[in-house]
Amino acid sequence: MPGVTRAGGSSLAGFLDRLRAFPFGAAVKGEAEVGRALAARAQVLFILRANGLELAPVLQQVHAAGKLAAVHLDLVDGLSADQGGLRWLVRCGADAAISARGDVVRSARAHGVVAIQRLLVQDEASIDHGLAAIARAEPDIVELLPGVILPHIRDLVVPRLGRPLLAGGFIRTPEDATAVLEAGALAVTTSAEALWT
Amino acid sequence: MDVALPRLLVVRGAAGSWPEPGPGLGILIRDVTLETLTELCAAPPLPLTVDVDQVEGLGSDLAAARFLAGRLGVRSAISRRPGRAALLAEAGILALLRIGALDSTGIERALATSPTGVGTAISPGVALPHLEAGLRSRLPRPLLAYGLIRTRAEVAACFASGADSVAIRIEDLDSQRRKVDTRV
Repeated sequence: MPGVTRAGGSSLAGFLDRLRAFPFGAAVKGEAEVGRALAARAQVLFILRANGLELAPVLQQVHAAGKLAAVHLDLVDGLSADQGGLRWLVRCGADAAISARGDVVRSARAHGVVAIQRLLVQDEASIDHGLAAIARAEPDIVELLPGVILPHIRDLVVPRLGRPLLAGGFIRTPEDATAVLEAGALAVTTSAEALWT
Repeated sequence: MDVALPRLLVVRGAAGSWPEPGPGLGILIRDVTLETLTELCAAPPLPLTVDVDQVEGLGSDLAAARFLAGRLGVRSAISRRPGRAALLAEAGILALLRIGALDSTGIERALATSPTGVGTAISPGVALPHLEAGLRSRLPRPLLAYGLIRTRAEVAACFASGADSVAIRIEDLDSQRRKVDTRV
């Protein structure tokens, strides 16, 4: 395991402050995107695609640039979305762990990293089930996908959530982002670089 | 495939009621048991589409697909499982693969597994107008917008974005009938 770094101020309050300051998280899927995000205005990188076994140097770069990193445990290569995979992420220096799995989310909180639970929305039943799972897991933050529909379903989600909300998925334009933020999201996560550069 | 999807599919479960028949109108059945499904299929007033993943007790094999087509007269059906959708098509049913429109990466991955001869049910349907045009054009037809479509504006936006059919809740039907041309 290479040397581990964790950015200063990567508590929940610090994490939220970064997103409030610039409400566009850079969703990155490759090394080149990480490099561009480090040079951009985004304060938090959401790492969706990477070799999870080689993350420590990447996270060191993120922290050296004064930014924070949330890593998607369900999507990165090389790790399983379970307690062992989560412990690895923590040791690598992730500031936040993202998963749709409640047990992983609970463990993330126990390990002192920001816990982000994904709410995957396809129909009303998935909202009900997802909100029930969130109530059980008690994540620090919820990320709704596809985020672009938040203005359409605000009434079904926001009043029942009671915790900070991110929105990701199909948010490509400033108009999309404005509508989502006005609907109640704290920030958007997007791979549209024009929004975070 | 000579079966066409109705323009509007009204979602109902075991406890729902049949809507007043009308042109271009059909029913999408979900959240039922196999027993209830057979009862609903006995004398439906409108064409039926079945979300087979939401039918408790129904198998996912070719025997189940043939039962739907032959014994129940189901003409169109939805599954999120590519293999199951392929079996439905093999049984002569207009099959739609339900694809989660959560982000573009997920759709790309789902498209890679879409069997030939199978259409698409995009969920949540309300996201359809927000997909890039290039991605929308690659969704196998027919295309159903399925999930969380509650307003006239959302229905219209889905049709404008290339949907062949839109699924709505029965409580929203009356307002849709007034505004949407439901003719096939």
